Amino acid sequence: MRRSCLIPIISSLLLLATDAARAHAFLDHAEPRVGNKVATPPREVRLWFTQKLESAFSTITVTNAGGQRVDTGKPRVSGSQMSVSLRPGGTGTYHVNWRVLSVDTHTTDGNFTFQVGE
Amino acid sequence: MGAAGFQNLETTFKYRVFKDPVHEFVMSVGLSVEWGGSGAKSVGADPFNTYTPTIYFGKGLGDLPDTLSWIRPVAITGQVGYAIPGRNFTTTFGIDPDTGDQTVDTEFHPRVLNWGATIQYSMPYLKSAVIDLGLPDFINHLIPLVEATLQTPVANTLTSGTTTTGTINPGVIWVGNTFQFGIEALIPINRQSGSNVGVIAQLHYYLDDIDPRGIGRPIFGGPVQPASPFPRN
Repeated sequence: MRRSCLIPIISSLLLLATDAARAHAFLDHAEPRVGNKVATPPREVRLWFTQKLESAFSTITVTNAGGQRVDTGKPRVSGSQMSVSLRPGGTGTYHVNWRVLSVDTHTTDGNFTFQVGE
Repeated sequence: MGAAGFQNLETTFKYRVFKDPVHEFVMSVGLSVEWGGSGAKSVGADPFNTYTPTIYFGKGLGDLPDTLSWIRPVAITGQVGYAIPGRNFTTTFGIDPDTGDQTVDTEFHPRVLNWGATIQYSMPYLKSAVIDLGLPDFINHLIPLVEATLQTPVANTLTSGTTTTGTINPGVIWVGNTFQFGIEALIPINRQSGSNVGVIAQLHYYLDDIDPRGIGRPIFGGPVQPASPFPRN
């Protein structure tokens, strides 16, 4: 009797657990590192993703502590890396917003911050 | 004594009815059908269909303010379904071995509320959206979680009773690019749910990433944009 009781429990668990993740082009790491502090304003932001990217539909915007855009515009894409040059933007919290299209045709987006200053 | 065999085949049609990427919230509805007679009787597979309309939701805490940034990788998911058996009861005729009289045994198949929830902490989200702590790569792919899966008979309960059964399942999932592996303990919530702690493991391949233009290609429409770029329920 106990066996027949546990079977639907296990079935339900499988149903609940199976969609725990889907993998597309997610941010693996960044330079400057996510949430970390650098002493001086970086000359570029570089992102590494978990899949190769399509350059035509992948973007990065970077704003400084004052909310002004400090990226120079079109990012450079090479394989699973994407980078964009920065203009000097002073100290404080920088916000990075990214949106990418991976070669498996899925788009993803995200954002993070890093700190500039002593 | 053990038993081996497949349970009934189960299919689910699921449709996302609402998503709010800014607040990392998504809600879906679905209809699951357990196809009666497709599994083995020896493992308790029912000979009749069961239909379960279900509501699903997921909420990530990524919209919390900077002062609570360490809680942003938390996500909560839940589901509530109402399982409707295609047969209300099963009558079995037999012979009493002592008296030789004919016996009639009727089992009522209850309508059951299937409900559950998870709370999880995404290390991939922590690294890519909150702070990169420089942890080992293996750690950065982990999602510790606790699941609860519960069943409450709510109608046609003459022979089943109305006691809620289920398990609380602490565990961890390792999330990769093309697969994930999860392992959880199964802790019964009461004696009716079981008397021992069990373990369940699962290996899940992402067919849409392994073969996006073949078997992983969407049946309807184009590629799907996830509400969040991070692994979530």
